Amino acid sequence: MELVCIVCPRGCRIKIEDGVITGNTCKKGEAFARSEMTCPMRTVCSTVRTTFSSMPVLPVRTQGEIPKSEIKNLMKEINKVTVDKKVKKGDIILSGVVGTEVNLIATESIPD
Amino acid sequence: MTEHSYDVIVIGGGPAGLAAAKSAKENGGNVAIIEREPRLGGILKQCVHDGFGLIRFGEKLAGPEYSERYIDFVKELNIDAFTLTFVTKIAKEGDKYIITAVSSAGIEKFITKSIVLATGCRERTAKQVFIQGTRPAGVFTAGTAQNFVNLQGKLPTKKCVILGSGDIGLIMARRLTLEGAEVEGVYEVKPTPSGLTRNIHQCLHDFDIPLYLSHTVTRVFGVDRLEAVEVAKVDEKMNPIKGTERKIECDALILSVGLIPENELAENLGIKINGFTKGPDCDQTFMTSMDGVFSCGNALNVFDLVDYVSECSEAAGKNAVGYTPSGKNVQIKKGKGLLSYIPHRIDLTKDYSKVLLFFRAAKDMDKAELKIMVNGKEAFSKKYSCLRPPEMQRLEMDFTALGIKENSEIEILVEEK
Repeated sequence: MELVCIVCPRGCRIKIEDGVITGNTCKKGEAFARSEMTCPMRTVCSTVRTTFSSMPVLPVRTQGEIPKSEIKNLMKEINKVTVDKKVKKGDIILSGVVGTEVNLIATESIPD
Repeated sequence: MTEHSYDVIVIGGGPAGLAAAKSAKENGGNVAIIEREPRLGGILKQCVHDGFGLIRFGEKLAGPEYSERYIDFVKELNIDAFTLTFVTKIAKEGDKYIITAVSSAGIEKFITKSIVLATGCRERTAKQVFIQGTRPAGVFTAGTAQNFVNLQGKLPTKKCVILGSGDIGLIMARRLTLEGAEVEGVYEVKPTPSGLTRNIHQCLHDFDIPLYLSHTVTRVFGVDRLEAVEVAKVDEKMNPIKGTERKIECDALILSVGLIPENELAENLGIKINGFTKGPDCDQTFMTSMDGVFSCGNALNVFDLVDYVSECSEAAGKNAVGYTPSGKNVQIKKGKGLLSYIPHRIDLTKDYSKVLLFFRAAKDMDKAELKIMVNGKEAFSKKYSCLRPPEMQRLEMDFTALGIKENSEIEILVEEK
C-alpha cells in the first residue's frame, strides 16, 4: 500500500507493507500513515454565515482533526451557524463538533 | 493634492507587501504600504484552507490567520497603510521616486527613496486559453470561484468541470464539493499534475473526484449560461485525439491554468523582466534592474508556499532601506533541467555570503543533482531524492565560497542521476 503524506508540503511517498512503514522522513509521517490505515483524520476549513455586510461569511476551521468519515456531518453543523457577534481570530464558533472534543474556531477577526 | 514623503513605499498589501513593510520598519526605514482593496491581506483573505505557516510559524494555519498575523505586526509597528488607494504612475526624479495614486481623498503623491513592488500575480484567464465556442456566463477562473464562495458566501455552480490541475483548482474542487456542488472531474492537458501531490490526495482522492491527465476541454456550449463542455484526450503534442470527445453537461467551467506575475508598474518603469519567471530580473538583494526598485513575492516569481513569499519579501524590505546602488553584476545563466530560478545575478559589491536561492526543476526527476558551475567547473552541488516542477526548492547559499570574480561565468543546472 502506498500513501502520499499530507502533513507538510514535502509530500513524502510512504509505503506500508505488513505493518512496516517506510518512505517517511519524519515521525509525523509515520503517525500519519498509522492513522490513515486505521482511522483517517482531517482538519476541515470552511466558512460560516454572518450578519455583517462587511464580511458576509467568516472563515473557520476545526482546531484539531476529526475523522474523515465525519466531514459531511460537520458541514451540516457548519451550515446551521449564523455569527452575529464581532468575533476575533481564534474564538470558538462551535464547541465539540460531530461528537468529538474538537472545536470549530474563527480564522479571521470580523473588522470593526 | 496630498503629498507624503517616505524612505520606502511598498506597493501591495498582501503577504509579500506586509512582510516587506514589517522588515523595512524593523530596519529603521520610514515605510508605508499602498493597497488598492479596502482591507490588507491580499489573496490570502480568500484562501480559507489550511497549510500556511508550517515553515514560518511551525503551525498549520488558514490563509486569513496567516495574513492577520502579519497585519498585526504592521499595526504594532505603526506602519502607515493607505487602503483603497490605487497607484497610477511611478516616475523617477533624480534619486527619488514620485508615485501618483488615486484614493477617496483624490489624487495623492508619494515621494520615496525606494520602492518595493509587491503586486502579486494574476490568473491566466479564459481569453488566454484557446477553447472553441462562445463565452457564456459560467466560465471563470478558480480564484474568481474562490472569491464567490469564500468572501461573498455564494455558490457559483451546481455542477462543474475544472480545467487545469493547479493548486487553486484542486483546492476549489474540494471547497465546492464541501459546499454541495458536484465537481465532475479535473482535466489536465499535461501528463503530470501541476499542483502539489498532497493536494491531489487531500482535495481529489478524499472526495472521489476523478483527475484526467492528458485531457483538455475542446468546446464550450451555451449562449447565456454554460450548458455543457466537450473534453477530449490529447496526444504527446497536446493535440486533441479525434474520436475521444465526450460531452459533459455542467453549468460552470473553472480554469486553473496558471499564474502570471503582475508587473504593469514595473514594465512601465522599463524594468527588465525575466523570461522564465515572468517577473523582474533581480540580484541577491531582490533589487530589479532599476536602482532602488525592489520586487518580491508572487510579483517576482510565482511561489507555491506563502512562507517563502514572506521570507523573500522580508529580505527585499530590509534591503530597500538605505539601499546600495547596482555595482559589479555577474549574471547567473540558466542551464539544463531548470524551469526558473532567482536571483538572476550576483552583485559582488553587496553581501553574497547568504544568498536565498529558489529554483524549479523543468520536469519530474527522481534522484537529481543541482549544480552551480563557475567558468565551466563545478563549484557547488546538492543531491535531491526527487524534484518536481510544482515544488519550488529553497536553499541559502554562501556564494563567496565559489570563487566568483567580475568576469566569471556562472551557470546553474539540474542533472538527473
